Amino acid sequence: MRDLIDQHKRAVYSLAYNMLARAEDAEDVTQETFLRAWKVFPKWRPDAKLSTWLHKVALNLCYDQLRKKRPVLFGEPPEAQDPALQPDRSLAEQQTQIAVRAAIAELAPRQRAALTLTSLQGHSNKATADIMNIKVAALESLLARARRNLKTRLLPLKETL
Amino acid sequence: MMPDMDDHQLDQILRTLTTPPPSKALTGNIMNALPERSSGWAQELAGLFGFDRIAFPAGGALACLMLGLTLGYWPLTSIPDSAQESETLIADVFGGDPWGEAIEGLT
Repeated sequence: MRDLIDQHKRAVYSLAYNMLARAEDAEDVTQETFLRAWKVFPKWRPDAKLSTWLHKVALNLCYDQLRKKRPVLFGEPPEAQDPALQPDRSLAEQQTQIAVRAAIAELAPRQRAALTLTSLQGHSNKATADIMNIKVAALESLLARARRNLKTRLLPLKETL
Repeated sequence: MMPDMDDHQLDQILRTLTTPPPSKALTGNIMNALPERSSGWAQELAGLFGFDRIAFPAGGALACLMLGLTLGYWPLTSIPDSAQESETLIADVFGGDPWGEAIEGLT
């Protein structure tokens, strides 16, 4: 189990972090995802891809979290002590990260998920559609809307990015 | 009017985003949480033998040992003490006199 956690935790955590914008919440979701995996292992069907299943569970847990909590407001840093902001990075880079993350956090959860899985995590459209339980055509439409909304939000900041 | 942002520019911006790594304690935290949720059968078994007050790994192991001894006790006590008893046992199980028939077959 430890090997399995080590192999997949980074990807699961990354999805949760990009969806929830808080390290603490992302760790909770990652932990719960692997606990659920542990429970279903005796009934595991080898035809289902494990990483897809883990991403599906993590994404549903993120949706649950987002339903419970207020959305992150635009312009507000996703979290006060963002571990992504390393001291060796320039102030401008850190501000860019905050601005882009805040813009992503303003997207509707499903648009955010589509953008995170494809543009940030590098999953194919087919794999992303599978994780999100939708058709590829529906994903493409979701992605187009996500990118259009993100461009609109980032446009005022274009000169500083 | 400010020019629109194209896809290439957006991709460039998205590429600058980095996700921080999870904390080093995460794997340990998950591993620690696993046995508590997955030891139901072992705890039941431990409870059956009165070891449920002992922590999961030790209690479960003791319960497994007790179960093994209990299941192993009957065959150990049923080993026949003499050749005659063993013949009776075989006759009871297979019927007739298999040893006698076998010897007759040889002679």
